[in-house]
Amino acid sequence: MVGPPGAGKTLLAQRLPGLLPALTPLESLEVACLESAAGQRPRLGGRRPFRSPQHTASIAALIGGSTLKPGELSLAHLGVLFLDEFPEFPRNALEALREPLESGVVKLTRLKRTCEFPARFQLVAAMNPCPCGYAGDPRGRCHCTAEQVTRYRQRISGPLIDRIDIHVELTALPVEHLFDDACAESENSAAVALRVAAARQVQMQRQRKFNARLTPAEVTQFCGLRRPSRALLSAAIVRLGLSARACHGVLKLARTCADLAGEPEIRSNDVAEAVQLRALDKLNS
Amino acid sequence: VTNHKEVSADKATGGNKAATAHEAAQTHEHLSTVLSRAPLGLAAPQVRVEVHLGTGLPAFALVGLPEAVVRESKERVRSALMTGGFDFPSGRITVNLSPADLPKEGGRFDLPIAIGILAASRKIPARAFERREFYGELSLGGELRQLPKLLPALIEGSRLGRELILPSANALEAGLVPHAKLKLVTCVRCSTRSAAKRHGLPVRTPRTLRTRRSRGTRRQTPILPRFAANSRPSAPSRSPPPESMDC
Repeated sequence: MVGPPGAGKTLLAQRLPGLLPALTPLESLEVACLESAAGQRPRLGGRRPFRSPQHTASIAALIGGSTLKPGELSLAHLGVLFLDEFPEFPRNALEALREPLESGVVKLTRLKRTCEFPARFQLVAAMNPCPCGYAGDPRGRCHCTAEQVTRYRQRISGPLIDRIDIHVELTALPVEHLFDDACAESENSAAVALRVAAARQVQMQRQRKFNARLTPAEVTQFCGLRRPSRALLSAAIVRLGLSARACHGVLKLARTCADLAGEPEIRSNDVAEAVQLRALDKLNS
Repeated sequence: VTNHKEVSADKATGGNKAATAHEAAQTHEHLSTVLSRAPLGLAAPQVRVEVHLGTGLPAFALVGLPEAVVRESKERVRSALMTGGFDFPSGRITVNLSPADLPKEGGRFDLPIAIGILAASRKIPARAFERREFYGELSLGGELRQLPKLLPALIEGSRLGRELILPSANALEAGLVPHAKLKLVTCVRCSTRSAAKRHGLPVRTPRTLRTRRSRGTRRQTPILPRFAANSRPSAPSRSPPPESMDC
């Protein structure tokens, strides 16, 4: 999520575990095991973990320490890992996220011992658009030079952005929305959670796994596109310079959009929505 | 250290003559083995705590790559046994934590070492130790403290069908393990009783201590495993409630 301070990035991230279905008994035992191995008292109940390490966290704190203790990545297993102020994290700590994001496993090799911890988490990262935080502000509050902005964004490497499937640009909430009655009547987390659960069920019935875990072969099998949608996606790939992995990410995301809408096939506006959610590629291209 | 009374009590209870002879042979060597597990990430490799009582000048040696906390357990075990009313053997005590090349950390080996010393000095019978695992950090007064990093060990132990003897402070954690045979104990004296109970053998505890039972530690609500019902549909739906023991 990219947005100015106070736009609600942190708030949104904190609501995410509430949208996900509760852990199954076996899953919560797995989470409890990881918490126990980290020397913490296991939480009871099926709530999904939400970990938000501070940006001063070292690589050992994120990945796991020399005493073969699971790190934040593993403690967020089956839950949400929220990294606020994403560009402020040490570069090497961010780069260490790459393999676990792909494999869902953290491998620690220390001296004579090797250890493997599961780390299948949902990464949510938040950052400002520029060092001062107000780039793109309609009142022109941003004083950063173009070079400063570029340098700030370059702190997050291309390979890492490539692995993030959804980039959202948030804007400051207009003042009339703050006191609007319509906001009070908007959908709450429980209602959204129902839709999420329904979409997950559809995915499990269709392919026995979630869209995010589809292999490339399964993507071609389950995320087939009609001709106009395919033309739209090809144009987007060329325009944004998407990699093969990002292209598969867009396809999976389009499939998820269709599942949420209850559609059996991917429509062209699902593809458009999925492409729309690659804001950082758009900014960088 | 000799204890003829204990052996004759064993014979008086009847039972398997061969097993009695076997035990006599084992205890004759002043050797005992108690099982526990070391924390190693999500794994929990088994650790055999071997205790040997030899003749010689009083000494207490602990070998098998113990890290600082485990090395200090010598002092805790000695004090806990003495304040618990047991005679601390006066000869040369050697404790080996096997496998020797696995680094051991944490205070969880206090209880197995204490039980091993009692078994080697024949204060308690040493027969059912192959089917039990002991975990517990001791205070100087003999109470058991809550242990960190215990859950992987409990899961591994209960998978082998072992009975797990652990501090009652870890009850919530232990309640997560499906189909576990648990015994929650609050002090070293309760754990010796739970080790001896199956064979109906008397545990030697001084009369003075038996009268000094505190009322505060009496209640111990058994914790039912929360998730046992859903975890394995074909197996029995709920594991038996852990047996809790206190003084």
